Amino acid sequence: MKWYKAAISGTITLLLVVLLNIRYGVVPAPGPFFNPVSGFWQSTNAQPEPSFSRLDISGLQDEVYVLMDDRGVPHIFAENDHDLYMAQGYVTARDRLWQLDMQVRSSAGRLSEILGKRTVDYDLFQRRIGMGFGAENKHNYLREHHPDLYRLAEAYSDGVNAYIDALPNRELPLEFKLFGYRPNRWEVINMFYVQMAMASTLNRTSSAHQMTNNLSKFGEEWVNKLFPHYPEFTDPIIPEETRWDFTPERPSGPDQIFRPSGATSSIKIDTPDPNIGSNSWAVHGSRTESGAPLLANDMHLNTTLPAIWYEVQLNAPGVNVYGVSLPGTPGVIVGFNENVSWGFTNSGATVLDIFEIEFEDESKELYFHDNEWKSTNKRLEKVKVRGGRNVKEEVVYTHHGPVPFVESAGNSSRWIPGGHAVRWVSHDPSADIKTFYKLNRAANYDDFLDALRHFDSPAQNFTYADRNNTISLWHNGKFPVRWFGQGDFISDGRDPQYDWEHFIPREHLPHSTNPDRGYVSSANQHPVTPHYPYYLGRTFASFERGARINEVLDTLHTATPDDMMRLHMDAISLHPRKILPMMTIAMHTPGVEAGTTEITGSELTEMLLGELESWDYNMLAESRPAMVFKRWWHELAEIVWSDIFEDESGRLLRFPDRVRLVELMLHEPDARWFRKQRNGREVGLNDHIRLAFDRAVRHLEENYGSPDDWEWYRMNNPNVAHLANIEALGHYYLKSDGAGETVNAVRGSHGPSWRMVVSMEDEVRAWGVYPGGQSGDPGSRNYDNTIEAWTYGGFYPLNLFRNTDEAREWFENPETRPALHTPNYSDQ
Amino acid sequence: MKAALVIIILGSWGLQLIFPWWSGIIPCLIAGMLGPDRAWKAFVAGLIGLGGLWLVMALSLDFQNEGMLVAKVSDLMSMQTWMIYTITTLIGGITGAMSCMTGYLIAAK
Repeated sequence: MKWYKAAISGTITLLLVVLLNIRYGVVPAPGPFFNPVSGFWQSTNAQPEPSFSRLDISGLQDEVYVLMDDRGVPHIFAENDHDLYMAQGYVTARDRLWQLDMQVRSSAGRLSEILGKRTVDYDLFQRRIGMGFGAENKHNYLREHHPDLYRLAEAYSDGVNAYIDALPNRELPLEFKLFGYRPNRWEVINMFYVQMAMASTLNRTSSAHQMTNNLSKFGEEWVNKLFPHYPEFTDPIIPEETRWDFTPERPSGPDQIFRPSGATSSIKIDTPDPNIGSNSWAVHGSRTESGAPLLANDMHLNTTLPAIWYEVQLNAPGVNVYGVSLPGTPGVIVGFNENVSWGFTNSGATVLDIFEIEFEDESKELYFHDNEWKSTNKRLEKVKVRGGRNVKEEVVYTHHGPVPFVESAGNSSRWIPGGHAVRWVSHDPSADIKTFYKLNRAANYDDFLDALRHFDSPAQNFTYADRNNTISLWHNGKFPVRWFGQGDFISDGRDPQYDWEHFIPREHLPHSTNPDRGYVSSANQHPVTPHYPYYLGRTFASFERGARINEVLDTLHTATPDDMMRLHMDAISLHPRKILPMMTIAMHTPGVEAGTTEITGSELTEMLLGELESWDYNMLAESRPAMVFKRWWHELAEIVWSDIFEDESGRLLRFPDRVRLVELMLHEPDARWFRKQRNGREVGLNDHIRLAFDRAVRHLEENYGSPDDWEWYRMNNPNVAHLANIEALGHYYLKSDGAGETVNAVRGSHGPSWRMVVSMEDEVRAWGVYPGGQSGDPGSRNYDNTIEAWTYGGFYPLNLFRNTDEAREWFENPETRPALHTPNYSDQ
Repeated sequence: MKAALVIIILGSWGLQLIFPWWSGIIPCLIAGMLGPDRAWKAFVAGLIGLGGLWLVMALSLDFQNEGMLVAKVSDLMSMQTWMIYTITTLIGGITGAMSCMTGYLIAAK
């Protein structure tokens, strides 16, 4: 009888073990996850303390010392470049291993290996648009043409792998245990996947499809009126008075804009984000208190945990640089050394064109171009799917580039119609990493220029300041030489006039060095006036941030680092400043619909209007008028445009930009788009403004309760979410001032991803902050320790130690360490 | 009982460092075969042995970490911290108890 009991007991035990070892959808297997010997408990450590020690990993050629400072920033001291980048790879992996793995999967279209079927469409899109194609082109180019740099990239990889290889499963970061997998070894090509991901965020966009649909629906006159090439309020990056002393060879282009054959309908899902942006400026020593130039930069990207940036100091013979790095990429991307500092904002120039392709037949073996049939190439893409069948697909390539979607239909076609090829500059071979290698070591303006030559994409406004009192800004990258308007609409893939033949010579790129006004600045707006002899594109960021920065800089004659920090945190919006007075006046002007609405005239309305009229346009976190204005504007734009831009056939159309509506309201309030029929009456702009106000108030009451609780941050929801959107690992509803169009461009999950101020004095001083923390371990204090300072405008001093002695001195004297700096924000 | 506990605690801890989490049931099985004189005692030995070992390990890791990770994991699982501890202890405890009792039953047949 007893064997029977033993069998039952044994079976139950085995069954338990098996059940506890199974993943339940997104829930990790309980046994592996909860046990304290190898489960989540082991994924963290004691809270970090500053340390200064020799790095002991095999593969180093010489001694390497690393100071981990009070925020967990590594200061790496090596004797040669190889060791420097190997150590950088190692410490980055130690702090950010899961992020390294995840961002490569996400860029390369390999998420489904971990997340299963739900990410297959996403993975396929990454592959169809050629993320692998681009990464391989760049990888192979670097290996063949810059073997010295390739070896440094290998050293970085070796550093990452030194960490991965020695990491026991039980010490894997939390996320690996949540998702139940182990990272692959790191490969050199991953660095290019990181670069491709950044390029995707910044320039993988085109409104050609929407604009083509606009053109066919409304005609050329409307399109030119509603989508002007150069909006009136633009304050360009390069000072307007700049003259260009060269005459480029520019093609004249076809006689007529290409009209696509028609099959461009697609489901409306996704339009390019017009608010991606950054700020950067440099003030000449003649306008600073110290006499040395000041440089400031904040790059607006997704604010995530772990953050997109990893702070680091790199010190070896020939280089001593501090700044932020992109995990997965050797070197410092934005930062400073003892002689120069530099920052970036993204270029809005069009570097992705969409081509209609005529294929000979269904097989898509041949396509028509320049009067002959040419062969396509095919690239096999295989998506491995966890717990499902793998997906294979052949992507067709023309000489323009990949054809992401074969058929027109399907809700993943987004802004690229089926049967169209994509020509994207970021697919091209390039050695952009060389720019960073040289910038990190630059000692003067000539070095800076020399570094810029290698940078192709994603094109940036490079802001520069040095100790010799030179400030400069270059709109730098690889831009095709276009005829006027080329690429605004869908291009004709048959006609070689639409091809990219030549690129703008580097010395012709828009730039400004030591201009009379004493500062350079950029906020992604139009780089140049229409006098610039090349055509760069039609869509750039709205005027507000750029104009506000220039307006503030104009008033500063003895600028200090604190002034720069205050400008970083500036939340004055030029959008309401331009248009709100007109809107409040309209509220007092009876329109056709006077008396027909419920809310106007009420006590609440009067109170809100009074508040709006005396408002200083400051988008403060707790501001009620800021919230009312934002919703009011949203409703108004909807009322004005939605009936015009609603398309019965579901075509993807582009709404006019915010700034265009402002201009039209101010200058042509009686224009035809404002005249509508409503309830059998002809109504006009004033009626729309009143109706929009009613709707806004109703919306706010329904969604945010009593007007006492209307605070702008509740609508804006500044947040720093976990990369996998795990809510418990993120921070939401931060009480941060700002909005998408203010200098402090905090908007939902977007915002200043790294604020930096550098004073190029003989002993360079610098401050910086990004939301998050150096560690990717949610159990570490350094996982989210800097969010608070970022939210209210604190800046950490950035220590560029000249040698290990200085680093050791900092380490041994905790009481003399410089503290978090907060400028006075109250009396501006 | 004491012998069983020693075997379980040392054996499980050692094995789990190298092998998967469930390797801890093997010392429990052996302990059950060697030690207890009643099935329920074997069950309790496994429960206290492996469950206790896991609880103590979790507590000590949590103490070093100052409670930050377990707080995040609790949020993530929409649970209280004590529930995370309970689940951890129970997974160890029940598998330990069952395997230890199985060991006793095999030896006693």
